[in-house]
Amino acid sequence: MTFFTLLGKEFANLRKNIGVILILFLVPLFIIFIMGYAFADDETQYSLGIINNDKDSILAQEIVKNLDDVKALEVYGFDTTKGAELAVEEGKILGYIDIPQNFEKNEEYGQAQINFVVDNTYPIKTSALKSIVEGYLEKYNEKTTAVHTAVNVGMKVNSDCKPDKLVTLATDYLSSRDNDVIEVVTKYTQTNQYQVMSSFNQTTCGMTAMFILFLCILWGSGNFLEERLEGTMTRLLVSPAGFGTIFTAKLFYIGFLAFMQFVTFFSIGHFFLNVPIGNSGLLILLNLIFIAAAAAIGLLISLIAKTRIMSIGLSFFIIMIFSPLGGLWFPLSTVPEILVNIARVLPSGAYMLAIEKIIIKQQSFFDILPNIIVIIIYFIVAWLASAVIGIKRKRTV
Amino acid sequence: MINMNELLSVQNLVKSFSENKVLNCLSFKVDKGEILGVLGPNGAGKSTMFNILSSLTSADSGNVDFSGGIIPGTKEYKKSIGIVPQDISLYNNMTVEENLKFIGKLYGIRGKKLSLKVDEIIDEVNLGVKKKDYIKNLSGGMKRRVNIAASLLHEPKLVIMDEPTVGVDPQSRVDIWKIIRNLKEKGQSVIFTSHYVDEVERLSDRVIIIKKGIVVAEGTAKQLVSKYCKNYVYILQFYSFDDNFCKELTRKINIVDIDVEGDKVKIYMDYSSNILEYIVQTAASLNLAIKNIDIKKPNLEDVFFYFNMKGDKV
Ligand SMILES: Nc1ncnc2c1ncn2[C@@H]1O[C@H](COP(=O)(O)OP(=O)(O)OP(=O)(O)O)[C@@H](O)[C@H]1O
Ligand SMILES: [Mg+2]
Repeated sequence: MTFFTLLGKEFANLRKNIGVILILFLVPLFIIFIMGYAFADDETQYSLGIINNDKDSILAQEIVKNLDDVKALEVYGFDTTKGAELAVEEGKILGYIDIPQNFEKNEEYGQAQINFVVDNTYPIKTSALKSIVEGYLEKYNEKTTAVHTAVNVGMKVNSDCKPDKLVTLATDYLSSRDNDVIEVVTKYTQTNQYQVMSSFNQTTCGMTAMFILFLCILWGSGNFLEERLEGTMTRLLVSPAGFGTIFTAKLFYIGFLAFMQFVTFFSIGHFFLNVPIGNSGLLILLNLIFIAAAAAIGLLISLIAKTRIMSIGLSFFIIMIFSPLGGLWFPLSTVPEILVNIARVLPSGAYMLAIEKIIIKQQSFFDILPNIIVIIIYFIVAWLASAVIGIKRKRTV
Repeated sequence: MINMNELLSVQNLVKSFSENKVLNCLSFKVDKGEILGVLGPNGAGKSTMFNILSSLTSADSGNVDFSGGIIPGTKEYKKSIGIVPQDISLYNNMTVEENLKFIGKLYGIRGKKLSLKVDEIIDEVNLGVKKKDYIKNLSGGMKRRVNIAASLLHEPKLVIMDEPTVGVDPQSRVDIWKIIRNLKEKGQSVIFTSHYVDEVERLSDRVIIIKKGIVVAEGTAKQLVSKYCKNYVYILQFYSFDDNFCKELTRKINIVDIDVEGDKVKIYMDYSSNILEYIVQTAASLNLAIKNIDIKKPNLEDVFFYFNMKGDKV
């Protein structure tokens, strides 16, 4: 009962601090979007290989030529599928389209197929290339484009034919068919064993972690300290509420808000930015442990700090160490091995490494266990230190 | 260990902060329905003693016994005492009512009973019109009164007040006195400290004076005065003064002390009914004209100063 009384007080006060909620929830979202776009590769050209096995087909030539004209694409011709595959593996091209033999013939029966193979190691690039190529080929299925193509094709076959007449002929011909003209069959390959973190994956996870740190350490320690400096902690401690209940309620409150941050950011990341979730149970477990550790660090700072300025300073110091070194600002895959090793022993770094294992590599609990243990160690150390200081305090209030 | 009519008994409390021995074998007791005033200079250890009584701090050694076998530090004990901290301890961004309701709930008061109790207490401290005001918008004196009200919601057997009247205007002070007297009427006991000695004298059934963490004097205000400061002070002012007056007077009557400051003379002595007659006669015999006579009855303040002046001898 007392627990809920204490919790109720915190939420009632939060209600009066709408600004805080905005900062805790909207600012991170803003940053996720901004940084997601800022770090998205600024490549303007995507390399695409083309194997044209229906060399005589005018439609195929037309498609190749038009793809070549697309500014965003850098097109390389290949003679064999093998050659294109090799180029993908070597990273020379991101994907290729394969126009089969009898393409044009099949096209006449409305069964033309184009195979599109794309490397899925780099999700952002992949989806960009995919949307360009598919979007482009899809146009052939639109009537007007199809007619236009038919006219072009017709003119090349018989240059004497009058354009007006060709249009009528082509329109009649096309409207007599109901299937799509061209079907694109997309296949993914993966050159690396795993995808790399896309920029939205990176910023969603990184900013979630950073703002959990902000909430639990900076804001959490401020909340604890406020209670002490305002003298209201005395009021709580002389009441029958009990030391344990008071602190549990506070940790629960901070933890709840942090958990809501996690849920909000990942939901938006997942539904709007294609951030994968992986095993959601593991993802929640990891975040709960991370939140617990961060809240314990916040509690410790509030006990060490004697003034508000000192608690803000200490919190910032810790967050500014944990964030870049833990890979919250830029992917750990881009930093030297030594820095990755440092990240391994930081709670933020352990979080990022574990989250990559969960959402990208789809690994199991046992794979993230080492990272979880690192975070738990921080939790235990911060709790124990807080308890020791708390007991000592009691002797010298 | 504890007497039938005793509520609290404190024995031989010792407390040091590193080298600094703040409480040094402090012992006293509080009876049921009694108001105990605690006097002591800054740093005497009053707040430290209160912190121990409210289980905020632990003593190095010593004993605290509470009536009914209630063990200090337990929930039951915390429900039996009400603490009014020296510093305001209320939530600034909550209203008077919200603060009181929240604190009431911590003590397990709920529902309709809580609303009634909160309204009753707000009336008692005379803050009905400020019920919906934020604490941060109250004056210092009003905050003090809410600070007291918050400690009375659960009707504790013992209310411990650390300087409840510091920094309040005379009207608020009178209001707070009324609250303290009301508590006594309802059978609750009160321990309070104040640096206004007159207030301690006025309110307390019994007074203890603490110095350097030890009780140096204990008794009713009257007992203390008659024991330590029985001298009246006669303050005479002359138009023109002659040293012979002192010599003459000392010869005639039994004077404890005499002080001359310019044309002012302070005579310290036991009370006797014909003293004024002697003074006037002596002055007349020396042809000295008296401008003004002031007679000061000794009070608790003098006792307090008496112990402070004694310096380190205590
Ligand atoms: N937490 C602490 N650490 C170290 N010394 C302390 C601590 N709390 C109090 N003291 C010391 O204990 C002594 C007694 O302090 P205390 O606050 O009990 O005095 P007090 O009688 O309440 O004084 P005041 O009338 O000024 O309120 C002081 O010398 C003070 O410096
Ligand atoms: Mg004090």
